[in-house]
Amino acid sequence: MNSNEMLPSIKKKLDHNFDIKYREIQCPKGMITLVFTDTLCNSKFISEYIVAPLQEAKFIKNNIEEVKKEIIMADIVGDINTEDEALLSILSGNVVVFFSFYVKVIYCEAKEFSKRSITTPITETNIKGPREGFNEPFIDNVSLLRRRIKDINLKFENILIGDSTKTIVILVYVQNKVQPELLNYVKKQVNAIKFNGPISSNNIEEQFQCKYTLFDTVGYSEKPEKVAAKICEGRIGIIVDGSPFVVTVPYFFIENFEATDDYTSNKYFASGIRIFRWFSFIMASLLPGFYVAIVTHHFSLIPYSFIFRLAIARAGVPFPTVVEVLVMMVFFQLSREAGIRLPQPIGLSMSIVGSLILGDATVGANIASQTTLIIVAIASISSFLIPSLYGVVMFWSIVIIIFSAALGLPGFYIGFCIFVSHIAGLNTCGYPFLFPLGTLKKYKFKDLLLRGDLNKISNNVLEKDKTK
Amino acid sequence: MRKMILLFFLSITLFFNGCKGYDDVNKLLFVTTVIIDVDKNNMPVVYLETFKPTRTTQSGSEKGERLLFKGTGKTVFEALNDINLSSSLKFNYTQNKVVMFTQSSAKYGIDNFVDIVDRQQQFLVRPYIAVLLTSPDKILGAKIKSEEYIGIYIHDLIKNVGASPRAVKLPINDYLNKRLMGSKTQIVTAIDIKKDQLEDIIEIEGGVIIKEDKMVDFMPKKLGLGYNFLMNDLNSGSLEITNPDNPERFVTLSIISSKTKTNLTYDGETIHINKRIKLKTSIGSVQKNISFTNGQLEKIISRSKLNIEEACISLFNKYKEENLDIFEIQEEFERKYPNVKLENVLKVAEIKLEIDETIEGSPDIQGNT
Repeated sequence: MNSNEMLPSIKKKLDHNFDIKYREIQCPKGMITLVFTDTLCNSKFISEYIVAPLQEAKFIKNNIEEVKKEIIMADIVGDINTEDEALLSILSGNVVVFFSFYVKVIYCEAKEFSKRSITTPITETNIKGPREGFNEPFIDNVSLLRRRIKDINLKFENILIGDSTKTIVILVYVQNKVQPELLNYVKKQVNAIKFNGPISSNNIEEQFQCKYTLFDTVGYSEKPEKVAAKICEGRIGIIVDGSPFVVTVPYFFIENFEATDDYTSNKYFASGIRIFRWFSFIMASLLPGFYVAIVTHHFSLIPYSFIFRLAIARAGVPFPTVVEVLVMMVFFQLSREAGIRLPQPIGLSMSIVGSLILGDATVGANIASQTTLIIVAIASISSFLIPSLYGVVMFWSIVIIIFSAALGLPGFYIGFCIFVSHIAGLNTCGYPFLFPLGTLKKYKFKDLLLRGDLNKISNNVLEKDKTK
Repeated sequence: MRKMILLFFLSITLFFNGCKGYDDVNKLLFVTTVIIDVDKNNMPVVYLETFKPTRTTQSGSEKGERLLFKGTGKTVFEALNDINLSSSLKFNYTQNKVVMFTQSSAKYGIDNFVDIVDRQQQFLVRPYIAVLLTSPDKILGAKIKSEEYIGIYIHDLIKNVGASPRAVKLPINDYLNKRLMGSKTQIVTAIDIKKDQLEDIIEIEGGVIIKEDKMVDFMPKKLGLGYNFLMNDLNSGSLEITNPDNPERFVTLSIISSKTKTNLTYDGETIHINKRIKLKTSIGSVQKNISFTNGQLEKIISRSKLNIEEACISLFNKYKEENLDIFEIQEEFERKYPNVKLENVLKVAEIKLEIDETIEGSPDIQGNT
């Protein structure tokens, strides 16, 4: 299709769009038509570097390549081969130039649209370390990563997904570190996404997410240094245009216990805090179940002074212990959800009201005993230390509570075994989710329970360690 | 495979879960003391002291109540069932602290009653066993200011036995083992109410000798020192000896640690029991005054050794004469010489003591040594 045939067709396809502009320039050789989306382009740039040079050109040569090289002053100029390419280019913020006297069509980049500046990520705050966070435009995100990894092997492969949205998805990886089979798998999965609505990083996450689990088997981050570190370890980053979260795959269970501050603070302190996170995970998921098992089946394991106090505290409570614990957990959920959904200043007040007044009133109204309240509170506070596992902990703690209430400690152990085997049964992009736990002999990984020296932490965790 | 393992776990739990069940802690009566007596026909009479959580109509005024129960039957189990008829809540024996037998039930034979403790899962083997030298009514009616529950009080009393080298303690677990071993003789804590006191005071009054599950003798607490030394049951306590500078006054040695090693040998005629007591003490208190010289310390040590030796030898000889093997010599002998058949081990046993005592402390306490 030549230029003169393509323009009417494009006009027809893009009609009823107030921001699609057609700028016609009459020159001695014929008509030049610039087509662009006003809301995505810098009009000053178009006037100065595309329109003005074309108007001022006294003589336009027969060869379009000469026009590209000598007349148009835009930074990026390229050829358009098909009508679809022309449409995509216009809708992406480029200026497509049609010459009535040439067969070929060209485009010039003149993108400019409103965007927020790079700010500190809200979801991942850290005390020490960089403050920059990813932004919605993919260009910003690419530049943030490029600035951190100046490696010729760092690759940014773009893929367009979505039949109508044509969202730009960029795979980021270090070519000599990424495992080829992993790269092929990721490309295949990304290309398999069929979605007609706006695509966000969540669509990508769901594509890689293990089915029937609350565990996130896909990682995401707002922090460029975190993603850069993961890419350097041999993982693949996936940038989605319009999303400030960059997805990283594969994502392992152990990463839930890592925080950016671990790598910017004293390693002994960081290791201590990391152990604390493991401990809090155990407390949050197992403590309510253990409590129910002990106080409903195994009184002999409790010191008499405690059990007498517990019996007195529960004397007026009309519900069985298991119901009492579940009711308190539901109350806590209500309080937490209300705190999160409300605007921050009101949410804070809500949390205080929920924790102080509701807790005290619940005990006063004999809906729960103080001991149960303390157990649920400890479990809930512990879950805050591992926010990425919050949903998992809530669900599995209830499963373990039910098993414990039914069968006592044997039930608790069964619930725990099912929980552990569920985690062990998950995989992330073909790798076991519990990796490197249980596979230490096969792979090098020096960042487990304790944080190792920064210069000793493995650069490529997925590569088989040949030294062993 | 995973499904199989899961199925295995579930089936095991479901099939073996019969002994446990869901109970809310506030819907139970926790037994703290079990006292077993016998009536004129030697039928068991069981007394229970229990803790009951009580709710009130007033908010925040929940409390615990002490309830006492008495039941009779042909067996202890039946007596407990008899008690169950008069209770609105289920009894739970997991917090039971002590199982006490009256003198009459102990003389009739503990073996008639103790089986339930071994057989029923709720009756743990953790509580202590004791023999009451007074009546159950008196002990349960005693008003102890420091503790409302008699069972807990006695449990703490027995646990605190280290403070007195003359008291004996025996958990049910040990009793159940020893009743089948060696000479089947053992000493069980004796409990009594202290007389001539302004208020009720329960005390450990030595021990009761049980042979083949029957009470045969009573060992007063003054003999407890020698027994505990010989049986390596002494961790702390005190020794009182005369003050070398003032023979009418006393010096108290505080026992820091004590270890008794037993070596038993048999030469074909006599069993030689060599007890090596390694004792560490410090000066606890001195009446009047004393010169802490090496010579005086030596005197203190030698008098202390003499006291211990006298206590141990006289105790050994007393029970050797009575043919009561409270020192577990038969068991020790059978273990060391399994092929030698000897009917009455105690009669051919000779004891020898080696006491290694040191007085520890800073030079200030020890004096100018």
